Amino acid sequence: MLIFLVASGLTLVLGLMDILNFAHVSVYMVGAFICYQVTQWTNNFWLALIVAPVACALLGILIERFVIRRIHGSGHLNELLATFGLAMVITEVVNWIYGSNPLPVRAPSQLLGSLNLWSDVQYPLYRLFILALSGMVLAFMFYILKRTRLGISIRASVQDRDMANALGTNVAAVSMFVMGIGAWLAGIAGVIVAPYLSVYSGMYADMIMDCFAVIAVGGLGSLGGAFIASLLVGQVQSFGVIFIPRISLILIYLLMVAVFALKPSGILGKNE
Amino acid sequence: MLVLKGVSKHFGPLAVIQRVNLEVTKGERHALIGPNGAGKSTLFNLITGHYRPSAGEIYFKDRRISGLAPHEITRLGISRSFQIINIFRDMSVYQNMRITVTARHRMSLNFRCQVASLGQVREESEFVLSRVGLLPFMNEPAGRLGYSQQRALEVGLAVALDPELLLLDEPGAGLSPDETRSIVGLIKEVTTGKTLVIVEHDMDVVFDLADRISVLNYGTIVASGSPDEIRRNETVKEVYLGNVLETER
Amino acid sequence: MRPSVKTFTFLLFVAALALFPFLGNKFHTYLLSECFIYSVLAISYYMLLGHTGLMSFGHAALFGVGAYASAITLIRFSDLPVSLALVVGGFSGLICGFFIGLIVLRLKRIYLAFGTLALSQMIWAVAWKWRIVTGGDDGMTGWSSRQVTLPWLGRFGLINVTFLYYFVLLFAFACVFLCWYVTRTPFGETLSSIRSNQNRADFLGINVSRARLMVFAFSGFIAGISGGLFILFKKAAAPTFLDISTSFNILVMSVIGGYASFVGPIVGAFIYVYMMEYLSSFTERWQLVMGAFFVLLILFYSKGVVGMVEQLTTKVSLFRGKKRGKTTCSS
Repeated sequence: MLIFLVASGLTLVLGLMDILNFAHVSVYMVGAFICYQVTQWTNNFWLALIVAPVACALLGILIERFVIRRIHGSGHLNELLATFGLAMVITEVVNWIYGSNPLPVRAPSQLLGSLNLWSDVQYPLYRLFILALSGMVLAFMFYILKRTRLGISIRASVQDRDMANALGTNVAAVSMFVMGIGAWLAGIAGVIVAPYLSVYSGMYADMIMDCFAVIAVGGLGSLGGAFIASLLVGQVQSFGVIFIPRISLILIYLLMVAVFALKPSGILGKNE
Repeated sequence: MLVLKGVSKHFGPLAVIQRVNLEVTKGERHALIGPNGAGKSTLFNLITGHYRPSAGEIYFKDRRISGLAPHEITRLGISRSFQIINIFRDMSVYQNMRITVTARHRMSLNFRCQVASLGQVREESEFVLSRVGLLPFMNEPAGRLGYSQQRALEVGLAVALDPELLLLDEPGAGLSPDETRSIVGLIKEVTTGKTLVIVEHDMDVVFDLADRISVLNYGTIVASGSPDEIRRNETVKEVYLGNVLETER
Repeated sequence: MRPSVKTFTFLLFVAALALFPFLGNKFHTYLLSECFIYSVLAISYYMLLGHTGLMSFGHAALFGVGAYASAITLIRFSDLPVSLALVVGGFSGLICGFFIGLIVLRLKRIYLAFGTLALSQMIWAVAWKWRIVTGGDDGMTGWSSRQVTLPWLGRFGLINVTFLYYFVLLFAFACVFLCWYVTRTPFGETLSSIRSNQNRADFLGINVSRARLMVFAFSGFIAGISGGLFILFKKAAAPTFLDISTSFNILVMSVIGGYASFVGPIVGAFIYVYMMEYLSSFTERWQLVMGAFFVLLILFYSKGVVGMVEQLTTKVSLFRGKKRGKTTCSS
């Protein structure tokens, strides 16, 4: 589910502007680091949960305004290079300020411990928290996309940008908004994952692989596909980790390879 | 030479081509006409392998080609030009031709010799370029040519493959009457002895060039026959709202 | 007239390179050797990106696989000559390139960048975890005392900076020449046509899939050799050779010099090495500076040094034309 929070923003921007924003995953990492910093200063996880995503949203909007907008339309290669370069720079900055060792973040005391689900099954409270929060966020997103006018504008712009423009939707504003929301979600994911996996500069590389897998399998531009793929990838990972830990990574890659070979545009992707 | 049997093509729920039957005999010059959106380019894409038919079969020289990859179909002797100019813009005119001729000689993947040393390729390239009147421009980047010259290059590239069947998709699109006349002359010259299927809107060109005409409307063939038959055909007149054909002769 | 000016400058350049160790000091000799190795890497990438238009973002994999294959040969089969280890590196790169090319065969543009990055990450993970073979995090070392025997000239240690310079120069020349030769073959022109208009190439009867596979394999071969040269030079192999930042550095080199021309990436490699050297004496964070520089380049001027030179020479020749009173059209 965490992956979906990050991948959704990525896939939406991809569908909307045909740009693969490598820097989006950097925003996720920045969110985690902001969470770390806030908890260092205030020892209040919940505050971090509010502050970090907002900061990330701002970062996302800045990226859209100064990088994406500038590079849009100058050819796929330049677009990819710009976002990729930006992602590398952000990673370097994080390395510079915080070093490359993992930094721990303590989960708030309310969320420590496990819950006794039924008979002997213990489930960590924190994992439940992740599930619950992601679920709420998703439901919220779903509501916005399907039930509000804004949502319709977004969906229309993703489907056919030029047509939406012609019909009066301010696609530029929508793009900025989508980037902001996507970044906000990525920030939430970053905060949530911080106590779970601790905070380190390699988060970028790890998450980008998962996002790749999700987007490649689910289809570029398809939110529904990303959702299904996140479940799939999540399952493969946990399955692999339980039974054959070394291979779990390979399983995901095999899955991706299979998709590349059989349906290059992904399960629900647009047929290019 | 070319036979289409019951060919249909759907894109999702949209049926672009419906049960088309078409026969083109060897050496024939066959024109395909019809209103915009009738499916003419789609038909070309089906023949050249860019799309697979949703139903039906396509045969070339008694061999089934529906379902083959574009480059395989090209190698069997079918070549096409494009309605929207599809040349190698950032390469020189000469290179455009040389790539094509090299492909014809099946040497495209040869990495042992230097391409500049292939004398026969050079001769052929220059020959075709001179036939389409582009030899003086051979070192210009193809994207910098004037529109009518790019059109000539389009035809030239298709012809350079020395195909048995040549498919020309609106070779005169966007040309002025003079330019159109000259490209028609060009086509006549370079296609002697070849089988030709040409999609065109310009009726002058069609009646000048074609031995037989087929009319496509909403994805089906509504009429097929000699130019005279077509000119007299009531359905065809309706299809074109009677206007275009009545202005001829 | 033009060609012989070019040829003359080229020969001059070659002579300068050949004589350099006797003219310059050891430090710069060492640095130049590094430039040569990166040039080979950069030119292998040019074959994919600049020449064929294949946006591969995982080139580090080909480099790293070659590096490790050479390293493993040097350690496990230490009775085999050093040059053979290089060749093993090259062929490992070739095989790796072939398989990557095969997997991403049907992908284009964004999907291709994605896919190649993903695959190279996977290979990186394997190198990292497979401690028994690759030494994992610790990497591999142990061949710095090796020697190379040259016919008639005797034995030279890899420690010998001057020898290494000529050794690397020779291989670099061979690789660059090979790439140059290939670009001028029918195959090379076919690759350009794929970059220019893959769709039309398909319709000309060109087997685009096969061409792509071939260039991936070839590029892998050259990159693998550069990997082998690199480990001979640095006397060590590490998983970082395969990670994202290495792929990124290859991109930086290509863009700085101008990724669309043959000479560009080579120029970029030289600039990159010197920038790296001088920046790192100012700050530990030189990678950050380079990265920021790269992003600015992309945003504001992406044609690289070669592009700049081309624009300047066009302006100069136009200016000269005007001075002589010639107009461009009638005269």
